[in-house]
Amino acid sequence: MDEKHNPLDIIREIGTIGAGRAATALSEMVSAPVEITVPEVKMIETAKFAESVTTTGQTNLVLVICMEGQINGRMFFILSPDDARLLGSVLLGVETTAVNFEDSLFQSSIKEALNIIVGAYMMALSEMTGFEIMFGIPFLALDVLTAIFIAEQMPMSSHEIIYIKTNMQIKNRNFDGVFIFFPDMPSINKIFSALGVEHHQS
Amino acid sequence: MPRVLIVDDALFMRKVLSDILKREGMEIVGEAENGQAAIDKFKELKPDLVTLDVVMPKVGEIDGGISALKEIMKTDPNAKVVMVSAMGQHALVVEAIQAGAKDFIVKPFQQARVSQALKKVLSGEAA
Repeated sequence: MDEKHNPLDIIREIGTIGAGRAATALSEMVSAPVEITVPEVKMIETAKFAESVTTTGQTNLVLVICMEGQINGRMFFILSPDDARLLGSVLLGVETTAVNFEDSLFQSSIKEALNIIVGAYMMALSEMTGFEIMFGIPFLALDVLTAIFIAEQMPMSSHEIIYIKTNMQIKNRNFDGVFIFFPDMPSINKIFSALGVEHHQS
Repeated sequence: MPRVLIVDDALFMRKVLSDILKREGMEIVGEAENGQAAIDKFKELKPDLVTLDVVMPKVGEIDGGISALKEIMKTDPNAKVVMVSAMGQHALVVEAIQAGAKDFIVKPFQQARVSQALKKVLSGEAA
């Protein structure tokens, strides 16, 4: 690409493509129409993001996936407890009051649904960059974000993160989730170079 | 009634697939959540067909679905195994087909596609 693009425009495009695919896949899973939009996209310095996370002590449900291959890093998809309960009730076909976070079927259903969303974003990134992206086995954590990020050594390898807020509408219910991608420094440079993006690290 | 062994590390996906196969008139003779358990249950239950997730955690010497597939094919070269993959696992599916898998289905499952693939494999039409 000769023309240089704005990084956020490209990330929004990747998010929109991924959201469309994730909606199709989730729709098959729940046998109902699913709409996914990307209302907010940003890039944040890892240190600033870490500071913002430490100020909120809320427990969240977080899917964690490692990336290997031509792009390395970690991905997180974060759901608040209320949204996780709503999504679980839709996936399992039960009332929200019947959702139990300790239940292995609930955890498995949330893990699969979030894995589909994250996978769709990464497929879009892979196709737009031409890089082969390999995923590790995802795991689900229920904890405060600070603890999860420290356990995953988040600040050690990434200088900047990519943040994609994701809104889902399924069966007249509305959920918000946040996708966070921590590429390591060589990977973020490779990604933006492949996308033809003018990117200056802050 | 065809006897099926379902192998997937995700409990939810085992349940979803089990529900689909029961609606298609198949009997679920067992479930396994990793490759080693899949091999053990295959030898014990001798199912007509195995659905085998491509990506699963390593247990013992068995690292994921392809490793389990190779062991199952050593046990029974005529085993009918259908791989289960997710988006973005095309290379692994190709490797599995080369190792003896008869077909593949993709998560999230579409009942029609699952039914068509499994019935074709059971009838011996698939490669």
